[in-house]
Amino acid sequence: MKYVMVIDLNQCVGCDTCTVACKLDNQTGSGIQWGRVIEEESGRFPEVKKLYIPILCMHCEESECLKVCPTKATYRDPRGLVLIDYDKCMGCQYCMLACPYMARHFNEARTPPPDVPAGAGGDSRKGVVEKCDFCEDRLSVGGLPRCVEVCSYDARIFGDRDDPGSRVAKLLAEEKPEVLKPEGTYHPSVYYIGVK
Amino acid sequence: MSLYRANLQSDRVKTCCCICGHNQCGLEVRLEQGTVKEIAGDADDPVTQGSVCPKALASVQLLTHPGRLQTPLVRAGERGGGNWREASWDEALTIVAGKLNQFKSESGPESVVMARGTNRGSWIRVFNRFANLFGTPNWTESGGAQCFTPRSIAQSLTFGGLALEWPDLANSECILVWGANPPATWPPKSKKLMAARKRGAKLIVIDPVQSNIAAKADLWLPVRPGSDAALALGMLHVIIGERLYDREYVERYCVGLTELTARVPEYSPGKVSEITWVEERLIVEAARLFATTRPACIEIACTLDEVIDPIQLSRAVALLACVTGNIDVAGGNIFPHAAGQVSIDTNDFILRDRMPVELQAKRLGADAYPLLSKNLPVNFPMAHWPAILEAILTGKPYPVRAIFLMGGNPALSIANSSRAQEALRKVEFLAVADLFMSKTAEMADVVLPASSWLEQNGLADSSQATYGPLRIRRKIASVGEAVSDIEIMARLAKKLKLPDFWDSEEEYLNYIVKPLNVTFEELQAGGESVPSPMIRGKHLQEGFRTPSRKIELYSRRLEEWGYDPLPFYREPHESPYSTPELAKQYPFVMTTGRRVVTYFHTGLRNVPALRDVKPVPVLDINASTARSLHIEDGDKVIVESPYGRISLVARLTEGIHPRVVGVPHGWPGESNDNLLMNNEVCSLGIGTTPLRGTLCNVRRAQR
Repeated sequence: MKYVMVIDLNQCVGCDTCTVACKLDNQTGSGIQWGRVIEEESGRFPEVKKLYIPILCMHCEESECLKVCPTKATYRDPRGLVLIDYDKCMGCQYCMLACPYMARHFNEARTPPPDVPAGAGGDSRKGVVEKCDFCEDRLSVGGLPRCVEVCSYDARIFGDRDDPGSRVAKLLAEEKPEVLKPEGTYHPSVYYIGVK
Repeated sequence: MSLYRANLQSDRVKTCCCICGHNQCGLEVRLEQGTVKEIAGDADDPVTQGSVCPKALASVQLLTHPGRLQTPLVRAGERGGGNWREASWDEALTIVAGKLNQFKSESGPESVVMARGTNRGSWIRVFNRFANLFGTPNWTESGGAQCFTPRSIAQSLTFGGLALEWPDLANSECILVWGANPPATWPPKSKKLMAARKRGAKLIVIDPVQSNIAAKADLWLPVRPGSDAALALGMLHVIIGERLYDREYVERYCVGLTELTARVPEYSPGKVSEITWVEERLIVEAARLFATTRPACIEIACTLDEVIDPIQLSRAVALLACVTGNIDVAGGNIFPHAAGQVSIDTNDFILRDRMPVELQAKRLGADAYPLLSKNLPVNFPMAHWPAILEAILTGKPYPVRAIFLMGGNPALSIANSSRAQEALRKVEFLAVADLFMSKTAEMADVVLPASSWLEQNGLADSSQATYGPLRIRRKIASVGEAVSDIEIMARLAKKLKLPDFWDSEEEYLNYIVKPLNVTFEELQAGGESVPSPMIRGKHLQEGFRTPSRKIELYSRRLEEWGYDPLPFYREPHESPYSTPELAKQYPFVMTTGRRVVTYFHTGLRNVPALRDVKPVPVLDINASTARSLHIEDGDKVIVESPYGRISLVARLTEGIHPRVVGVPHGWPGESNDNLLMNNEVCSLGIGTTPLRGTLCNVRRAQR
């Protein structure tokens, strides 16, 4: 079993519904987004192309973060997910430097703007490094990652790459999606259609 | 902290949102141990088909937000001093009713203004009726002349209904999006649009900024803000000149092609290119693509309302769909049909004609802006906000002594905010219903706690919200003593002893669904929604609801009322061409009012999950231009107009013309775009403050 996500950039309109859903679901604090959408422009006005690119933990097969973790807090689970044991993490942040996708976040108290209540801020993860876990709690009960569930545009497709009948297996075979930073040897589990 | 309680047994409840007022998306609310856990789209909803947006998802944070108003509040101390005491509903409404009746008897009902902003549910016309029953001609909306009214008048004049609001996206082969950004404002339409695009439908987007949807376009036409009518007329020039229009359709269903044909030669693509700053070849290509790809539809938004001649612009855009034979056909623009409930979108419902003629004549703005403020077959008349401000500040033509405000924040949302705030401070009595202590509520005498969509029963039955299926909102939680806006009106109506209103939200809802032979409770207990017929081609067969029963390319009504019966373009009241001297000092053309998906007008910036994603007010500015001004991405910048200055954060992009900037709206304090706006120049007949295409300068703030 190997969970992967395929993101169709032709379908992503940058509405940030996934970003907000992720924040609410994981109760991340001010300034921390496990999943986010960046804009990438190319060309000059008026010949300009813009892509909205959702970014999250890529759950790499060759995980730089896992290699550098001194406490073995970061580990790989049998489904191919890269996870963090928040009890073991000591907050050294080596993994944040190692991650090529800037997908890891140090949970430190940040003050929201004055008109916004602090709210929940991942209190159980204070002082440690946190990140996207593909909503492994939802996967465990047969659900989907929250960002996949709330996408109105079918821009995120999730499933088991090793299941030949799965949509992701078909997309990987037929659409030849790419990974971000293909020059690296990270073998990420998040693929993109329509990068070019 | 348990500020709310769940009222339902099931852990998955289907309901309808109204966080943005107009979409009213069908959603699924998931409960856990008596509280709302999370919100998701509802794939079974016939209108929204599973789409969901950040505002809906983050609504869960409205239930536990420490800023929510829990009880009615009565001012204790100076107005605006920030001191309040809690009051019961009975006491608060007794005060409000006493004041409104006092002014009514002392100074006439016209001395009381009833104004609305956001509709948290389908209650615009309910409030309109409330005001008519009270007897004041001075009911108004923050939108009003700025949103929906001009374009709905234009559509009524042209084809007797709101077809431009209803592109049949699912069946269309070419979609022209004019000044709209559905991913940010109409998620259900956006979902259908993106599905159409995926199956190969063409997409043309007109927008000064490369918006979410413009980024997906086959053709993006970055029009100079405020010059849209020239562009539409230029496209009509190509379509008529190259005989690409649908001759049979126009002959059978339209009147006025000869006159329109005589008008368009003024708008050659070359000339229009100079006016609009859009490349000539793009204008021609867009016109040809739209006219030759059938069926084609048009999606619009309030951009069309916010220019110097909004009715003319809306008509010009509408005519593109008319001459190409795309009105009332599958895949074109169609007419919604209701499910059979009492329609709230009628002048009968609001009891418009019950008001004595002499009172109607007192409506503020009626003399200057008859299309907005006089009783006409094509409008819901309302007072003109700048005229209300004038009446408060000068006592002319008569004093306005009180404002009862529901769901609005005119301290920020009216052009020329300084003047609006001065008037709000000066008016003798101000009562506000809202979820939070808004900038306007801070100045009030009485503040009433209103509820969010999760806390109210209701119907998604506005003509904007649905093609027709009647969908149901279910009360799931409650916060303090907050109640729905309709319930607030019902309670106040009792205090005011208004006839022909309802005693409660429940009684109102039962009244609306009575023609369906059910009670609201039965509807809630039964199915998910009440279906409605999807009728296309009805008006082609039976005639359009216009004087000629045809589509009126040439509008005799406009002519009779003293306006140009054909669309035309004129320069905005200030622009590089109409005021070249001013443009030397203020060299940028700005577009304001761009919507951001996480917010609705001035609301929701205090919701943590939303603010975190869009933390600052962003100025869109061309990257090369910015660098020439030593502005880098993320720099604080000052935007100045002849009327004021504000502070924003620069976002450098190539997706905007070097001489155009995009200013966000709805931010408070030093970032409030309405400080840049003058509300003295308004459009002919309808009174719109032009918000798109005025002049400004930009400079880096001191680091």
